[in-house]
Amino acid sequence: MAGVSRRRLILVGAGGLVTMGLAAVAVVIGEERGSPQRSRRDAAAAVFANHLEDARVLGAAYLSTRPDDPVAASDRRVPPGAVPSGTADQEEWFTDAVPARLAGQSASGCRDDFVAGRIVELDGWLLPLTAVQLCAIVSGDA
Amino acid sequence: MFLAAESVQRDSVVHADVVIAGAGAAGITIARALRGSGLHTVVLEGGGFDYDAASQALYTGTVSGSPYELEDSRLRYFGGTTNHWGGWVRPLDDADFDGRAWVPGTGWPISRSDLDPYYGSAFRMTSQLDDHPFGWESWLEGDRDVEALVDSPLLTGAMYRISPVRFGQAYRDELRDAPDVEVYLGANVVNIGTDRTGSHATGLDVRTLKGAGFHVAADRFVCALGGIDNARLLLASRAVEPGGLGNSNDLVGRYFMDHIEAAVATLVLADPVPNVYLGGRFDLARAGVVPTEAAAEQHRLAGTAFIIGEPRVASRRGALDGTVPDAVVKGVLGSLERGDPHTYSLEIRAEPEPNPQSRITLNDGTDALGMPTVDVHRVLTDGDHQRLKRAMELFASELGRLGLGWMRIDADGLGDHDGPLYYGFHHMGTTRMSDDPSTGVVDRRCRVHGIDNLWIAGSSVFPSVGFANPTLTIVALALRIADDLR
Ligand SMILES: Cc1cc2nc3c(=O)[nH]c(=O)nc-3n(C[C@H](O)[C@H](O)[C@H](O)COP(=O)(O)OP(=O)(O)OC[C@H]3O[C@@H](n4cnc5c(N)ncnc54)[C@H](O)[C@@H]3O)c2cc1C
Repeated sequence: MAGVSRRRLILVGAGGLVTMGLAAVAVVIGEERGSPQRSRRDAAAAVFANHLEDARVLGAAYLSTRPDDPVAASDRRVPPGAVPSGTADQEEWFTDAVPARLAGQSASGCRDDFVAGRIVELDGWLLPLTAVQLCAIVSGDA
Repeated sequence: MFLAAESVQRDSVVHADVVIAGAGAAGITIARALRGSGLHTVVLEGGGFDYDAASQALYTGTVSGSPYELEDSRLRYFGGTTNHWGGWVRPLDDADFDGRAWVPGTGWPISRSDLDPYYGSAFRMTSQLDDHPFGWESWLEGDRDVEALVDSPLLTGAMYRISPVRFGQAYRDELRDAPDVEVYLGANVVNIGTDRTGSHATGLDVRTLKGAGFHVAADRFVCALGGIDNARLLLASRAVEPGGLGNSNDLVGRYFMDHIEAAVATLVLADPVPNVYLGGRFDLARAGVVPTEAAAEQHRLAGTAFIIGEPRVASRRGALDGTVPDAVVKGVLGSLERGDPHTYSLEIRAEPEPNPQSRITLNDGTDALGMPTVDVHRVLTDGDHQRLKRAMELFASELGRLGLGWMRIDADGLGDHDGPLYYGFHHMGTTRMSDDPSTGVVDRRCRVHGIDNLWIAGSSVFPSVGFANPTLTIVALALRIADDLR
């Protein structure tokens, strides 16, 4: 089993939406499955749902391998697309956001990452850049 | 009827119309199919009815390539390796026969439609299950409440049926009661005799562990000794051809393949995987996730299936706690410890590229009967490793794209030649099928090129292997051989 020192990072592409504090809400994403009507949780929502501490650990791990990440290193500025357009105070919206408010958006952001190849490999995990960047941002709050 | 080889008069000649060497899945299938055909059939089985260490020791050999479990992956007694096989069956797909142009050397001279007339009977021999069609759609549309985890343009499903029929037990009484079939137990075939030109087999030399021996003369001969020992017997039969029978093009023993089967990933799904992927209440069927043929072409993949293993939560804690000071693992899996998402092991099952350097040869040793023993040199190619990696990445990105789950590749060695890539105990390719004698040992009817009355039954004839376990196709081919023998 690999340890931190052997962590490998491949970052394909750049950018991506930011997600955070993802809620375990049901997102209907079943149109390509055998039973289209079934409502399932999204992976992003499920993995990080309400587990801010875990997200912070992951984010710190990412930053240790990629301190120059354009989003994470930019004073935790909310990247474009993370917040619904028209939101007045983006920073506040981001930090205070209720996980449920973001769930749908984060889910699609993470899914888009996989489509676009914005995949971060951290110790074998093939993770969407969006989720990893979010974790990097919140890791600074610890 | 069953006879003890020991009881045959030393150096005598037994006559038959058809003689079959080996009573495993292939040999028993042919013997059974020939009942009532009017042919006098003799089966020569090295072992007895039960496991015996001395008989099993005749399978001893050496391993010079990647680590390989040689002895335990074969059983040398009546029923052969089906005495402990897992019973997973499914036919090869059209594309396995047609070949995938981006995987060198794949494809058969025959197509799936050539075996379709036999797959049904083969299924009834290898399992005790109902004859539900294998097609994935038929399971989704049926009334069995099968739900797909994923059914997208890139990933779909493939159904296995699982019911391990032990051929030695299931068909023993039928062979005992067949008046035209004689099964000799303890009858080890050590040589195939031919005429002076080497183009016509004349008889088999048989030895027993107690030192006796006799000869069997027949019109037609079938080698059904398993994927390693079919090659071994041809290579060891060198009275006329110094390199062994059927080996004028140095092909016997080459292209040795086994499926790449390895638990290589941890899968985190948002929701529990549908039951049918785990067996569970679908214990008669189990689904895998497979790339569609379009995805296989786009990503240049070989035949590949992903099998989702049991939930990992319990064992993961033990495996990781205190041993892996790894922030990432803790970060991602930490949330899982609280039981939110669902974690599974993920196994990949993939076809290797047919590789002439991967081979069975005779080593310097001999077994207790004086027969040369084998060396197994299994090597995977760079292409194999690249295809595995691409397959894993496709799986991860498609699951991520659909929002179903995320994945961790566990095997650090994936991509290394010495990495932990395992095998399925499926011995294939060593007497490969081709229309052209310069590229294959047997023709499309499984008859050895250049020898008019010698057939090879078993997965040694597979020129490429897809991802499906081999035995259903072994049995289908054996039934087809039986048709030709009649
Ligand atoms: C642990 C394990 C699990 C498996 N699970 C599956 C599975 O789930 N699905 C699947 O499709 N396949 C599976 N297989 C593979 C399957 O068992 C083989 O594909 C199948 O048994 C091959 O049939 P065969 O007749 O060609 O060879 P075998 O079954 O090996 O039979 C060969 C016979 O020849 C006899 N013999 C050998 N040499 C001589 C000789 N010189 N003279 C006389 N007799 C001889 C042997 O005693 C034996 O009876 C598994 C194998 C193993 C080891």
